[in-house]
Amino acid sequence: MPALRRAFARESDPYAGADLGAARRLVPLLVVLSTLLALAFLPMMPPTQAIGDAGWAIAAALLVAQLVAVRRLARPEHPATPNALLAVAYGGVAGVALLEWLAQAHSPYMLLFMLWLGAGVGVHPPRRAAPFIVAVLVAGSFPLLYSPADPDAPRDIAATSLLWLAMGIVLMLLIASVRTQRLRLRTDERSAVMRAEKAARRVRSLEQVTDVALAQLPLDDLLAELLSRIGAVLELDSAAIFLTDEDGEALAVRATHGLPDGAGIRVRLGEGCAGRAAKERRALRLDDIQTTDDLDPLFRTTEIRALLAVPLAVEGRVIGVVQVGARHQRRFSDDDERLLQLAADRISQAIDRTRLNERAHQVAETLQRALLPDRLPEIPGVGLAARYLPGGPGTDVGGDWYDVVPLIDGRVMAVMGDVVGRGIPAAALMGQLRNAFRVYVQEHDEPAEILDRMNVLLDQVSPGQMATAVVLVLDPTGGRLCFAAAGHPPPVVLSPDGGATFLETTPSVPLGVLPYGRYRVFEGELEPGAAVLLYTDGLVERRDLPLSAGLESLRTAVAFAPLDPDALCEHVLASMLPDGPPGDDVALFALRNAPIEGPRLRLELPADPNELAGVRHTIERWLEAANVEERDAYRVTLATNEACMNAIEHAHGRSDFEVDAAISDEFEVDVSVRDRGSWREPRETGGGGRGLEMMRELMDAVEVTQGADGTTVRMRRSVERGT
Amino acid sequence: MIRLAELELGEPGDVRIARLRGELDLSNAADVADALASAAEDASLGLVVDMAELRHLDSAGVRLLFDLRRRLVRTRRQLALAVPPESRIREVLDMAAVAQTVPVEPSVEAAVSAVRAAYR
Repeated sequence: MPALRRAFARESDPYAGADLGAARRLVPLLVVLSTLLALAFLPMMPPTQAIGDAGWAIAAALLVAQLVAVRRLARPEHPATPNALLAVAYGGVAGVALLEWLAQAHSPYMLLFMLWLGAGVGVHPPRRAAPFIVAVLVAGSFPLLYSPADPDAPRDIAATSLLWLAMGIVLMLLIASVRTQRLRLRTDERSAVMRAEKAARRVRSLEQVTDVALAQLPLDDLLAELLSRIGAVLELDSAAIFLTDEDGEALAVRATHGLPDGAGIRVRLGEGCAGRAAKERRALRLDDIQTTDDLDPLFRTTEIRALLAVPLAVEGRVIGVVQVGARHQRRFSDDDERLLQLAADRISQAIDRTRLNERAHQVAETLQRALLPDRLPEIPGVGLAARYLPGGPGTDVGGDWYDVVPLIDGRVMAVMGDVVGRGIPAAALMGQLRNAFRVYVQEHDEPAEILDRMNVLLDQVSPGQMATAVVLVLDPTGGRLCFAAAGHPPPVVLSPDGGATFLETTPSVPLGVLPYGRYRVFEGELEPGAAVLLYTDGLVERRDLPLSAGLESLRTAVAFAPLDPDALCEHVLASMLPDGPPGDDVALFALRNAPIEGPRLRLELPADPNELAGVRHTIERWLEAANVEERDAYRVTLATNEACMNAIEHAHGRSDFEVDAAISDEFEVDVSVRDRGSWREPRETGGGGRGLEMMRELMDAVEVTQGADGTTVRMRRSVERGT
Repeated sequence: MIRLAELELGEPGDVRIARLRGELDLSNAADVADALASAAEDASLGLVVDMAELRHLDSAGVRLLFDLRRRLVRTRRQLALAVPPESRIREVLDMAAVAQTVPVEPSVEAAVSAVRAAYR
């Protein structure tokens, strides 16, 4: 049945191909001509032979009907339908046959038949004009029925009928050939226009996927945009990009269009349309999918009927597949495939380029992070915190760095630097400078001296390269700060009362500019509780603002920040970079002269003689913060130092020891030093015995308790209040 | 190198002056003792250790001083210390009664005189 319906449907318009426009002009003309001729013939052959004078009335009515028909057909606003034209043509033929009968004559009306023949052939498409010609012949043969009297009549009629037939056929062929030619011309013209339009569309499509501006987009945006353009150009419902994983065994969904988010979906190589395209390294077209076996899990959720997959290749290596799908059956053309191939090339290039960039970025960032301290040292009485933010997406890492080194005498040296340049070279140079700093710190404790050395080194290892840096030394005991800067923005100090000020410097040149330059050292103060913030220019430099504005907003941000180094860094980042990582990378380093306060102090340290100085400094600062008179503070410190020395000697470097100190409201200091070693009798000539004597002399009471798990020395002393 | 204690040696001569700065404790006493002993070898009469800028001295340092004195005595050299009266390490020297075996003088000049006087 559907086949039959289709056969009918195809023939829905029997006059398809007929030149209706010409017929609409021709038919009325012929009708008018026929009317005029009939008017001329009627007096010669009066229509009175068959039914008498009543014939005149019928003839007149026929003529009037013809004029009415012409009037109706000639309305330009209502083009005549093929059926109306046909009705007029058949009606006209019937009218001529009627006049012929009324006049009982034949010859003159043959001309009228010919006119109507022309009209009818004009309305019919040439192939279907035959029935009309037959109808005209039959009508014209009517006189044979009513004029047997005349023996010549049948021969005349046959001869004239043959003549009409011949003329009708010639006319028909003529019209057919002219019309066919015209139709062919018009079809050619139309298909040429269509081809041109198609070509234009294709060009536009190509432009869409090869748009140069796309190259500026980050990879994810680029892929999404390309997929949406492919979908629009190919008029498809869905598209997806799969990339091969690292071992090349499976494909993972990277981007989708018109599909649910395919994150986590994996397709093994050789499975499904995409898997097969990747494995066989060729484009794959599936026009009418009936089972889901061909569908990847990603496409299974939607009703996809047709798929086209093209592998993505870089230098002959398949890196993925781009696949498009349609919800209805569809025959993909070679053009579709070529277009998708073009898009695939584009996608491959973009992915390859981005992967290279990403890899370089990753290497640089890994290098950068590896070169930054992974953990800041713990220094009693000095709070430290640092942050490093790599630049936002699409930017390369810079050479920002910082480091902090506790000096054995209790001071802390910190450095913050920024190598001018980006990427791996900057990160590598930063590593060299950081190592150099570590070495120079062993030799020099003057910040300016260290910068001088680094300046010479930079000139030697990387001529032409530049770096800014600031080196700062804090002596927590007195809060003395000395620092030197090389073209670096000035550190900012936050005092406990909430005032924020920049450390004063004179302008200086970056490292690497003047190989024989000399840097100046500046002095400052970091009162107990105050913090100092070092940073790189990424924090304060904004493209649309002068540097002074950036510095001023930093000063404001610091003024409202908490004193705790960690919280200070967070606050400054939140105020200065509310929108996350900026274009440039940013490093922050906060250092606080944190008072060692409270009624109790606990230290747990490795049994290493190098720890002694730190213990002394910490105890002394704690006693100072508790307002113990200086001389008494010194005595307690000295006694604690002796006890710690004992503990270290007992532990033989194998374990930790503990210092637990407390000061009561009555100003009695109580210090316990616990070790986990075995007690050894003080050596005759050694300091052990002398140490114990000294402890007894320095303190009011000293108790030594020896247990299986170690020795505890407990000492007490009443101390004076400081002034 | 940043050390806890810095040692600055004077010109060799009859009495050599060694200026000791910073802090002297268990971590550096042995090294400082060796350095001082070898410095004394270039002095015909003896060694003066200037402790004016020494901020810390404890029993390990005292042990070092006695040790050093013993080493110098073996080569017939003298040891004297220059410690200003206001120095806070003075208390440690007093506690250990260092002055009974090693001359402790308030200035470098006095210490040098003390070394020379020992040979008169």
